Amino acid sequence: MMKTISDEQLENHLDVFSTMKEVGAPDFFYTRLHARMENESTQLALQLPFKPVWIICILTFFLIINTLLIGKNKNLVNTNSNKNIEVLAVSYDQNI
Amino acid sequence: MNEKELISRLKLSEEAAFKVLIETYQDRVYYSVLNILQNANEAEDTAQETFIQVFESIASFKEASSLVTWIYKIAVRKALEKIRKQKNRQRIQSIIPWWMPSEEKSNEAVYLNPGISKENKEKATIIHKAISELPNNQRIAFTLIRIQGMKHEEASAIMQLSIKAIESLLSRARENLKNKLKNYYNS
Repeated sequence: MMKTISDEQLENHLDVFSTMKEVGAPDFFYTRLHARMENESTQLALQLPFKPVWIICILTFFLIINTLLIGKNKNLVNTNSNKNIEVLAVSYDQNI
Repeated sequence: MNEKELISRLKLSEEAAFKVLIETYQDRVYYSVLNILQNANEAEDTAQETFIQVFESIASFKEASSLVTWIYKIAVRKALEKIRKQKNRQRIQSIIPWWMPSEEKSNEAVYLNPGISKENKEKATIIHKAISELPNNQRIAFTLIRIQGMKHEEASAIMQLSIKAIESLLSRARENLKNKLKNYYNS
């Protein structure tokens, strides 16, 4: 079994390209391209708010707001519960 | 309309100039990408993407090379992107076959030029398959020079490589092809 083919054999094989005809673009190429460009520009305008990057940004924004609000509420609850205990203690004449 | 005038009118986003550009270069661009991709549908899609890119980035064209070389550069880059996508698709398909729709498989069919005679069709299919298995740069250099008959200088400008690098790519492509075709000649 030969290792590789000879240069002559390769050239012989590559001769198939010498009979090739130059193929032109398909009919109505410009019309189809024009339609595609118009379609893409319309789709781009419609798709912009639904791009994953926008959705992720909006969700992250809400997540941050939520975390901040929960943190704030937690502090409020702690202060309120302390105050309630103090009021209760005063009403029973106790000191805390 | 000469090239300079065409470029300046394109930079003004004139639709008529864009139409002239397409009518002038559509056949050359399509034929180039067809030779690289060996698939008529993919070639039309890539040629369209090339012209869209030309239209979108003509303002940044500094005229360091001729317009046709610049368009070819974009076309080759787009064809390479297509090849990369095809390879990725095939990789995913081999890992998770149910993921890709079956229609994608038809893209593997080799396009045969209408000028190729019946008795040469088998030979042409085999050489096209062997070329498609070459590394990307070798594939592009070999296609531009050996199939399309471009000069080394033109291919060097399009691929943004030195002439020596192009010659080296061609020589390696030939060696690889000789290796790949040995099974055909041994059988």
